[in-house]
Amino acid sequence: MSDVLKEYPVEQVHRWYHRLADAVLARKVDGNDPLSGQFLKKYLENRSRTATYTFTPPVYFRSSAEVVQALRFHRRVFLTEERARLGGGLRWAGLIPRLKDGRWDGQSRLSLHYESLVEYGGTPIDIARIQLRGTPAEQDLFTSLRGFQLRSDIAVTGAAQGSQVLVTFQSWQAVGIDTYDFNFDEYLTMPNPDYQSQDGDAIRPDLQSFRVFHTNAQRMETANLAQPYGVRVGPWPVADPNVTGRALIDPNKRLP
Amino acid sequence: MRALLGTVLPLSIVFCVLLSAPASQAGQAALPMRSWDQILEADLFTGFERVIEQEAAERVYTYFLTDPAGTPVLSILVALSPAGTHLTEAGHASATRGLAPEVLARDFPDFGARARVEAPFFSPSGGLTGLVFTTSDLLFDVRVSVFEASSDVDRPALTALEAARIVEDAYLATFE
Repeated sequence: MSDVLKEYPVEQVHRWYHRLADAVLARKVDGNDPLSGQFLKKYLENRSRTATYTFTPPVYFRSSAEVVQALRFHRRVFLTEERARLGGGLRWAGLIPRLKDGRWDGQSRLSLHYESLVEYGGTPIDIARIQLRGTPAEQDLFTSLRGFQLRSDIAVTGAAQGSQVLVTFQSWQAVGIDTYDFNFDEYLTMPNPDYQSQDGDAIRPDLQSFRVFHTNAQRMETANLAQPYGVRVGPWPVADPNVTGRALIDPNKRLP
Repeated sequence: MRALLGTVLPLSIVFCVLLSAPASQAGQAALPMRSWDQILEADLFTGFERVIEQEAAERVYTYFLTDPAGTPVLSILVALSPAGTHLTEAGHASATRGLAPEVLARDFPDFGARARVEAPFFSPSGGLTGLVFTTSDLLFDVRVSVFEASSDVDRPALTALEAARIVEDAYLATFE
């Protein structure tokens, strides 16, 4: 199938992408502008390749099962209950190694951070479930933040309790981190936001949909009408007691 | 199986059918659900592998198109339910009243007895489109969702609307 957008001046293509973003934004998700539409709009407005933009994390993102599961995993890593995924491998991290080697005295305030990949729709079964049963919120997360890094920044204090240490999470901030950019070799098919439009700027209003080749994103970037950027969704304070609740750790725990 | 398909075909396509509860009495009377299996198997994507499961309320056909590495690049979901489950004549009339022609065409396309667009979402990594329509004979509501990952893999050019058209055409052809 031919590249419809290629036939039009890049400025007009840029305006078409804006109308595509508007079509996405036309449907609110739990009262919010969908992230996928916000991200595309920002891409079309951005002129700096080194820019990073912060987006307000909607409740449906912060409370999504994938984010909650990842935060609970982060907790287990901080408490040295589960090995961290680091540098392509698994190894013990968090508080107990720091107690063992003296980097933490078990009492004073200690700051740590950890991040891991979170995926929405990681398997065909997941994708089918999101398509069939997924709320618009899940579908928005699936298409906007399909795979991203979730970072936790924490501060803890400790108190001796017998041979163990009672850990209190004094603060916990989480943020989703991603990059909004296109692979110029790829394409997909999208509904045409200009379908049946009478506007003189409309592109192929006779077509209900056509293939969108990402080489057109490349054209816009070359003309500096759009640029990729860093995405930060958040930070937000984590308050889930299953994540931030106090815990006992054993400084003498064997770490095979 | 995926490896086998990847060897035999440039793309492997896995066709899953998740079956749920009995359909509408009207739908069952007019066209047994088993016939839907035959319609989709025979006419929709010939040569696809089909898996059938049966659970509760809705009859759902999901097609996955994956690249040779097994990464999903296209997922087409077709869910059948009794007419009136998702769309009603009164609701449709109310929702479409006073809309500009281009908005009407975009959000409530002229399709089947009535139809409503449910997505889209767009990102550099993929797009999601959705459409729900009532079959022309007013027996079924059909929900169609198409997820397409951005990819350079050769594949059909489909949004939910095109996929729905294939489903509707196949369905109507059984009455000819």
